[in-house]
Amino acid sequence: MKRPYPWLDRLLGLFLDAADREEILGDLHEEHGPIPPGIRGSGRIAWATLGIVVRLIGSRLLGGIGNDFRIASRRLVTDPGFAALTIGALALGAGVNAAVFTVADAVLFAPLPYPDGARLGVLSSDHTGSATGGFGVAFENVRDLAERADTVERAALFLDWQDLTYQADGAAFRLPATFADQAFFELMGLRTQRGRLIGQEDNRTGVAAPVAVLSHGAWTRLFGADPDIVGRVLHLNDQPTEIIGVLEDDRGDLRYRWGESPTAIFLPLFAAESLTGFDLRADRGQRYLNALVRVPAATRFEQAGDELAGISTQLAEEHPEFNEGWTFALEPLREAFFNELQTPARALLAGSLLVFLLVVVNLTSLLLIRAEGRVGEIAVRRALGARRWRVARLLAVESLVLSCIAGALAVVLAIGLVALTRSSGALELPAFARLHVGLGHLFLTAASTLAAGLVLGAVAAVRLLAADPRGRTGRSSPGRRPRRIGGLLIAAEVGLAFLLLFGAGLLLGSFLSLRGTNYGFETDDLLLARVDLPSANQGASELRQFAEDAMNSGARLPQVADTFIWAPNRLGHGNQVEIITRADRWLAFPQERIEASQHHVHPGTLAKLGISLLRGRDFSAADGAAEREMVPGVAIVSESVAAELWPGADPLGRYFETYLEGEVQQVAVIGVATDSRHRTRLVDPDGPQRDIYYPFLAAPVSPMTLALRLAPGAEVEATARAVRQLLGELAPSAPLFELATMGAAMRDEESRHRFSAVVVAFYAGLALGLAAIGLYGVLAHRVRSQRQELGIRLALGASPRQVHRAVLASGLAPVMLGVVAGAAASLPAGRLLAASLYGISAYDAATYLAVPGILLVVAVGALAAPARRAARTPAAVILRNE
Amino acid sequence: MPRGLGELEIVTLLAVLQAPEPAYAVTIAAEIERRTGRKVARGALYATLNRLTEKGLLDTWFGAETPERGGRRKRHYSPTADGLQAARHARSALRSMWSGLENVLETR
Repeated sequence: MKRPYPWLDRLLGLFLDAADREEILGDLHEEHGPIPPGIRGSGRIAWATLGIVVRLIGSRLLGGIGNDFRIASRRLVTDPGFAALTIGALALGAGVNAAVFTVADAVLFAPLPYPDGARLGVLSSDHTGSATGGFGVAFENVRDLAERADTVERAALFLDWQDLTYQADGAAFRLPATFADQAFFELMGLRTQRGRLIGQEDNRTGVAAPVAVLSHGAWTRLFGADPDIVGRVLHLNDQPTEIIGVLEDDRGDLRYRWGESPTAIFLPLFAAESLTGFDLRADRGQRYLNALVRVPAATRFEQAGDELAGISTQLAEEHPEFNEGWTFALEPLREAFFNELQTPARALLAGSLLVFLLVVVNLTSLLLIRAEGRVGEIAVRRALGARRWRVARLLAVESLVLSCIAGALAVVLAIGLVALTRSSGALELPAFARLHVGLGHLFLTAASTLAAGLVLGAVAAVRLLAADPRGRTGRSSPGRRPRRIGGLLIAAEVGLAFLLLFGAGLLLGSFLSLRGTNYGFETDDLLLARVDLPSANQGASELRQFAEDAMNSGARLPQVADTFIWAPNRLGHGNQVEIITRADRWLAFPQERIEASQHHVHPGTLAKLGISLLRGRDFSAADGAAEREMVPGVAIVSESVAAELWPGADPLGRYFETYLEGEVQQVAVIGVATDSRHRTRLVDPDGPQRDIYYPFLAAPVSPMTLALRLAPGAEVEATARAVRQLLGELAPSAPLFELATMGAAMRDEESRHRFSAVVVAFYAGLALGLAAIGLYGVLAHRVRSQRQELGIRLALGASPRQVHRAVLASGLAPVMLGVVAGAAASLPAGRLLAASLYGISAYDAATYLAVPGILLVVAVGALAAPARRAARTPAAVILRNE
Repeated sequence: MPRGLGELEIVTLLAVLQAPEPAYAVTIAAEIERRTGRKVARGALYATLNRLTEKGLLDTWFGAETPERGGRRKRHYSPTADGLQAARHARSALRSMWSGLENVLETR
């Protein structure tokens, strides 16, 4: 049966030249019968032909390849500049890519290490009066929710924002704790390495002594991986607690989602009531809990969210006194973990892919320039009998050698960059997400480098082979299309470099003004020691006494100028937030509630911090004699609070309401203080600063910070040691969990911003370098191909200066185009960045002026050499060479 | 003189010399099969002929168009001076390797 084999025909055409085809098909025709053109014949002939072609191609592709490797390696040595540039650029592009991918993978793609991790979400509450949300949920509300919702398959309750004090050998430690019900462990698929998990029977009220399970990390870190730990009784918040098990890993920690240190110990949910004093189930206003929720398979979180909104409405109608204005909020666990990191990770990934693409495009153009110079050599090789495929193979081998070296370097670079990121601490990931370059990432790096290298080789090969082998230099006229493409390439590169430089400029400016931002109070020479008294010692008089003693003994230390107590927040991190509203509006106007940070201070503390009172008076010792213990009665509010609650009116003597000690309380305003940035100066520092100061004497709280103002030139280390000893003596059972200067805390706070500024600046530098290489390449190419024209111009009397200027102008045209395009694109890009900028506008004029300036300087630099070469070459030389 | 030739290369070179002149792939293949009893894969033969040509041991040229080949021409091969030299070299090398082995090889 005769049938056509067009694919065979094409295969022959691709790999064999006309002479080979004629010989082979002729021989087959002679032996096996007619093969008309188009290869029409029996299957046997097709197979015979295919067999021949495959053998032939195989022997050709590989025969003598060792020689090609020798030639390729020799070229690396003879042209080290080119080799270094190509290998360096490729390795940099691929290495950065791999590092970024490793990080992005951990944040964006790697599956969460829980059974059906993609179906887990964290349930919290939002309130109409709150901008931030993320409040806890109440016990009864979750129980109703679990019964009513079809989109909630299972719900586990937990409380993971409390620390416990653990006392041993006269020292006290803080153990970050998670109280959880049995379902929590099941949903997360946690198992013990030794002992058993917390079960249903442990989670009853009125259990005499609570039990606890240690996290794997705490077991190794705090208990030296003691093999006999199970059965030991620890004193937690002064209560004997039996260790019943040790988890096999650290996946059970959810505290990461607010950047807190990982859970050390797990306890039954209801143990929170006896250990911390919260009444979890008193009523639906007790929003101390969170819930871990699993949605059914094939249910989207949006669907679940819709249903939860409906149930929130029902609950608000059924229990308006507690649920008015409250809604459930369900966040997928991945987002709860990586919310802040996902957008930067995506941007970084896109950016590095783009840069890698640019590397390839640029190197291609550079290789083409070099190919131009090699046309002669290749022509000679071909004239000497080397066939097309042979030349192509040599080029492929050259690219292979280049890209192999680059690939190896890229792997080293990637591992180094990831290690650097890990050790810099700028990127904190949950315990389970180990940041390391995996085999998959390495494979991707190697494959992408190799692919890039082969693309480079292929482009160069096509270009060279297309050149006329009979011409002496093989120079072909450039034509208009390649020129235009070269110009567009440059414009695109310059545009991208503009964007990245612009972003880097803004972020850098933002970082600098961030560093320059103050808190609105005196932060110099402050040493902060934060302690938490055990709950047994948290009676009002004990707290008052401890604060008094700590301040007095601190002040007696040498080199300490002054002391004060700040509670309960970290200084500058007012994360303890409460909701307040004008008196008589608590129930009626939930939408008028605002969030404010509460701070408990002694008389005179505000003055010590340099926070001045605009109206009214400071606290006095008399404010401690409140009618009821732990209820402040009076408060000083910040300007912003005064302006929002009583716009245009005098706030002094007016009351606001807040929910304290289990009920709505009225508090009288006795003073108004200037705004200062207690909630961190890094988030919306120019927005309203809502703060309330309560008299510590009337409502003492723990944890508290003993702040010591050091005398100028004081030795921080020595003073810190003295403070540690002093507090250890005053309250041996109170763990000291922070001891650092304010300056160190501020640097810590800046580190993430510094990191992103550095990363973007790095990218911008890379893009700038690439644009310069590309610019140089394209212009060098153009000058070379226009030599004849330039020579004629020079011969006709054009001055070298004119030629120089003409060449420069032709190179700068696409640069200007790129600048305009980049400037246009930077407007929306700036808007995207605006949210993470601080103290600098997304339309910052200085940045808009500086970026094109830098680009032009670099462009002129890159163009200088080829332009000079064009102008300097005597006309006679050019024309004679032609 | 090029570096050492492989066995198939020597056999092919000799077959070009043995085949009725002017030799071409079909007759060369037939000659190898007739003399060694071994069927050489055609693809391998073309590859070897190519290689010998590239090494400058064979000359090739095209003959006239022939109807029995569908109007295609034959590609002929003949050894160059270097090719003849290589054949001689191979022969003397093999001879010296063979010499003195007659007793061993005959008795077994």
